[in-house]
Amino acid sequence: MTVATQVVDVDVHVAPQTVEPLLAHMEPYWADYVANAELRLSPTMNGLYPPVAFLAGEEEGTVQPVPSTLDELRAGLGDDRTAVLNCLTPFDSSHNVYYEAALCSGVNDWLRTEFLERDPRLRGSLLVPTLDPDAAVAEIERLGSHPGFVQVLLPIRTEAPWGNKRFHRLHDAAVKHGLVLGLHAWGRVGNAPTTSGFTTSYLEDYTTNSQIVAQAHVTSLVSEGCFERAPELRVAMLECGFTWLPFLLWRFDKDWKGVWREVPWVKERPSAYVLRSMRLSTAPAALPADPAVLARIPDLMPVADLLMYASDHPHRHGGTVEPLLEVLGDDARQAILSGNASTLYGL
Amino acid sequence: MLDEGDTTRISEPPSHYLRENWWFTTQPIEEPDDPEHLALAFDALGMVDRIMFSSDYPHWDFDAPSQTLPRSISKEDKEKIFAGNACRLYDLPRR
Repeated sequence: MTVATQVVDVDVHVAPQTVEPLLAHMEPYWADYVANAELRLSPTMNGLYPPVAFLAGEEEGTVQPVPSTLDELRAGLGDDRTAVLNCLTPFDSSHNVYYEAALCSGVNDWLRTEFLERDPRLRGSLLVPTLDPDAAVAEIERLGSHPGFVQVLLPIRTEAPWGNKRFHRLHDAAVKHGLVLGLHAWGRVGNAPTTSGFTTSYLEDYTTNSQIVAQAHVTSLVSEGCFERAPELRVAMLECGFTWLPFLLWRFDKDWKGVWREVPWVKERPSAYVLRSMRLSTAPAALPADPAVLARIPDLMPVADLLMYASDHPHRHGGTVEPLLEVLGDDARQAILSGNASTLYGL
Repeated sequence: MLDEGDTTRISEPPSHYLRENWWFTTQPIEEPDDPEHLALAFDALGMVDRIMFSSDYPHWDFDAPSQTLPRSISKEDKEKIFAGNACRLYDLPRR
């Protein structure tokens, strides 16, 4: 879509092309470790997606690589919008928990020095190790108060849902530094992209990973009482779609009514926590083809309160949110294009 | 990469196969605050011929037929869901 003024873009991707620029920010030990093991950064997170499928340009030969410098970002994005930068590089780095932590720190310092401290319009997501909550908390303590970082970025393909008790200290650290928890599609290639095992095709993986696995994190964060124990906790679902939400909440509220005694710390209907504390990005938008059904989406979910515009640059999944924006009033459209993100991230 | 033999296995959009080859049971029926939303979901899916009533008796969350489908679902669709669709799928006698 043509982006007008006053847009906050909550999902823009950047990634270092090689590990070298990160090593400058890591302990000398890791340069030796990387060299001896011939470690490389994988542009597709170790095969999580085929680089020329779906993410390809609309026409042959127009594939845009993920920007690795500020100049590339400006050239590719085509304007000077306020943007939240998400680097997924460490999502599937290693099962060496120490290397994972070091790589996250390297990426964060690379983001900080190459982008955030060079352009005041840019904000960034802090990468933290997924296997070691203590190290994740330490990284949040190290950089969480830097004004450029507004979010802790977490993958959805994980070993445990993010509401699990082991991560509560991570939640607390994020809240302490005013950071949002950003749950982004993808993650470890070794964790199944469905809730019942691995897939044969990328089609199955692509369809299920972001919208089905994502729902398990929504139910986890609410059911574990995360928003009761940390009422200031805020969660953004990024690149996970959003049209699945109302149907999950119908069922979630109904089931809670039946078995609330099991989770007495969940004091309100699950949907109340989600609507208050969670936001979702608009890309990719899975919208119904029937305009009459499309026009009813705002009845099913308060899109003007929940959604935040994202381009997902430079990825192109097809299907923009524009048809939905067109059926909304000016205030709702502006809330999605900038207002909700500005409030959530304190921009 | 899928070869030619693979791609011909799927000649229609995935939703086509769900609407033609799949049946779903109602329990535990979703209960949106506004019952009209359930009717909207049925309409949007275009699968009212593939939805069959189930009670899940005797489990705690079983659905009684008298309370399963809200008034927002038309009488015609209720007849399909409560009996017609299952009679067709399982070749059951109609009373």
